[in-house]
Amino acid sequence: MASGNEEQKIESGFNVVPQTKLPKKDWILLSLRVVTFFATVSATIVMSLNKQTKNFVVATIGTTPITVPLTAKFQHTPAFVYFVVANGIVSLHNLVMIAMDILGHKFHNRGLQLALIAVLDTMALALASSGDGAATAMAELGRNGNSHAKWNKICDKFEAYCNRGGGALIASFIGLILLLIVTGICSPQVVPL
Amino acid sequence: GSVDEVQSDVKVVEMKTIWRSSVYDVLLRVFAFLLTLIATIIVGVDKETKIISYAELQFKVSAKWEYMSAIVFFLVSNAIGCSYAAISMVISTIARTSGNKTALLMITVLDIIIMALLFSANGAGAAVGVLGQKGNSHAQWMKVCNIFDAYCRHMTVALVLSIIGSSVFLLIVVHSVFKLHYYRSN
Repeated sequence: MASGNEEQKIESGFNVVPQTKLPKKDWILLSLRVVTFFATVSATIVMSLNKQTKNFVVATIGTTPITVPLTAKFQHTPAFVYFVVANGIVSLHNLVMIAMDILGHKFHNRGLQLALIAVLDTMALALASSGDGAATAMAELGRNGNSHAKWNKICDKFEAYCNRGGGALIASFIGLILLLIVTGICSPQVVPL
Repeated sequence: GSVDEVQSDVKVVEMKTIWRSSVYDVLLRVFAFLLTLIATIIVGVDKETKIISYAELQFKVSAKWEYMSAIVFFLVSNAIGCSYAAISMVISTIARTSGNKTALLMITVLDIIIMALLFSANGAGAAVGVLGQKGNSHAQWMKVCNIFDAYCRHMTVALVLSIIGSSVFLLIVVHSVFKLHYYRSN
């Protein structure tokens, strides 16, 4: 009966778009999450291992140059520290989500589970994007400097450091875009109305 | 008979819920619009010029948003978020009351994208702000906020407002996901 269906729809809780469970869609989602996990993990690891020491000639006494070793480490910059922390947290989030995807089909309240996943994904997206923005701003300043603030660029001296940091940044951007796609797929599954 | 009554009651409950969720949604978007608008205006308008005397020379230095790319990005992102909040207010209300599911889907996806953009702009602004406040001794970057103290204060205000605005966008997405009233399962 029509009324019976309507009452059932109300009692099921969240107005989930009736999904005929396509395993293909779930596999796509799962593989996206796995790739995102790898992207953010590699960004975290590469940036946290980013370090370069170089000898700089400071002065010359007679014929012997005095060299001072200078180190560029990621910990020197709060933005990069935040980047590492944010990507670490997002990697953990991805891991938990993968586990939930694989093991979570016995969860009783499917609507609540989907909603929780969507909310957590959104928060992870916010964290990841802010980390990326901070690191990109720092990288841009490191590469180009800023004449108005008298901040000299450092990438001409510490090339390997900058290149590795750039690599970590690219990996993190890939993770961000994939996280965007995953959130975009997951959130509208719990559509209002 | 009773079947018709139940059906009409369900209709009434649905209309009320749609109305309430539209109101919450519009309210949140108004907040986001106002916050990003004020942040954009502060950053766009603010300018500080100081004269530094060094030895016997005098230098005129000024701080403005154009001079740093991260702040340019911050300004542009907040402007985009602001206009999007204004437009989506209208479209989302229309879509909700007419029950247009594809439009609502599109708006939710756009909400997510704009939220990510705003948060990345906040990260960039915060990174530059910390640099201005403290400098970076390892890179020999001197802090600038001792000279441009008023500018730094205004920027901090704009940054905080933008962060709150981005959080409101997050709430908008969460609100679209959770319907915050009747249909909550126990």
